[in-house]
Amino acid sequence: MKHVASLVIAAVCASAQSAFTPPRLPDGHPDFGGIWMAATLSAAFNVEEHAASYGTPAGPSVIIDPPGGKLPYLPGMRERALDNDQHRERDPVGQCHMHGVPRVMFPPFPLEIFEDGENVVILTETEHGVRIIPTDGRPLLKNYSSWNGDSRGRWEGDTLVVEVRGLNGKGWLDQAGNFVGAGATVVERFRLTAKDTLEYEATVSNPAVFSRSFTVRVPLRRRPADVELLEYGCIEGERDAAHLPSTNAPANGERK
Amino acid sequence: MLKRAVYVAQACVLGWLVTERIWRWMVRVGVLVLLVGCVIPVAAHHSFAAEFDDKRPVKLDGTVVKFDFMNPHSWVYLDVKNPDGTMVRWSVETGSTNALFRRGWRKESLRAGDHITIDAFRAKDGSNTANASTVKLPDGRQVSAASSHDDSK
Repeated sequence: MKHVASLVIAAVCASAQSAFTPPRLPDGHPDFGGIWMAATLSAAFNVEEHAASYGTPAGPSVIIDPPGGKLPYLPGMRERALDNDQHRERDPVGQCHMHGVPRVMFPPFPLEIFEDGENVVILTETEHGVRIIPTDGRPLLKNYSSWNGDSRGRWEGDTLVVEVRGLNGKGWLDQAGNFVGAGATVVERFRLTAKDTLEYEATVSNPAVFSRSFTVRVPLRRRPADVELLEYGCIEGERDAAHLPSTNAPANGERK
Repeated sequence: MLKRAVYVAQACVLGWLVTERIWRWMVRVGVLVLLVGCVIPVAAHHSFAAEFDDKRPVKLDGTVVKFDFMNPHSWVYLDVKNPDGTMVRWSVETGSTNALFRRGWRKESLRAGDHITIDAFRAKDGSNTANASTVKLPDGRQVSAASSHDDSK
């Protein structure tokens, strides 16, 4: 009986999803335009399921693959993440660096998306991040390396699929010290599932750190119409560094 | 007490959408919401635990020297009189300008000379630095500081 109920619920959900027709731009692609923010900030704290501690509310895992919601770290890598957790002063974001993909998509600050027919542009309030995602089929940059890497998009029906390479391997996935290392690639999928809900998924492949790829799913929620992106000069008021323990820890995956 | 605060915080997370809408509405009509004992713990620029100690709460009652309304965190500089009469200057971190602005704060919200009380947690390095949770304004209103453990948007 329980299974029947689950099937009915799943069918209703699927029906509701398929019934949604996204607003479209003149070129026929879905219009993702607007200001968005992660519907749940659980992922910003920790992409895995986590208990409450001061400053961190409990939250579920946002990892939908592999089953069980745990990051598939290679032997020894989870220990590095746990070590990061004990030394959160190493968090690149706390030092005003960029979030890196995929973390940049679920910070506790809004982001704006707009499309011009050839590019999908994502502006993030935090760190004044700019992601320009060409969808015209041009190749990825060669030998490029940066916090958010290089992105190329393509449309699969109403889903925007973005391939991200050129990540510098220094980014964390969350405040809890989960991380990606050198050579990571990310495939993101954006899809409007309701007028004010943009479903975001990111599949991360990083053989230097993980035994297999994993996928996170974080729904983004449209912000009210009067929300605007504001200036975020991270250096201006940065006065924490003087009170932090040494932040000279080696970069992810490079620890001896 | 701490556990209670965490539980209250978790309950607030469940209702944070509603709370935010209430905030926005009340700010529109020019009213600062009182958030006594109810924080909305949201991740911030840096982890609270990176710098501050949740086992070292401190109540600072003093006079505002300066309020720097900045990102990634705004800072209140406060002169606090010790029991022996000596004066100590504290640096107290609050939320980002953006988080505070969206909650109705403005750079004039605190002025030099204002007498305020801040509930905060001390920095791990033992300096006179703290992370604010709530600020009691000169008129007695207690408002959220949108700090590391209580930041937003």
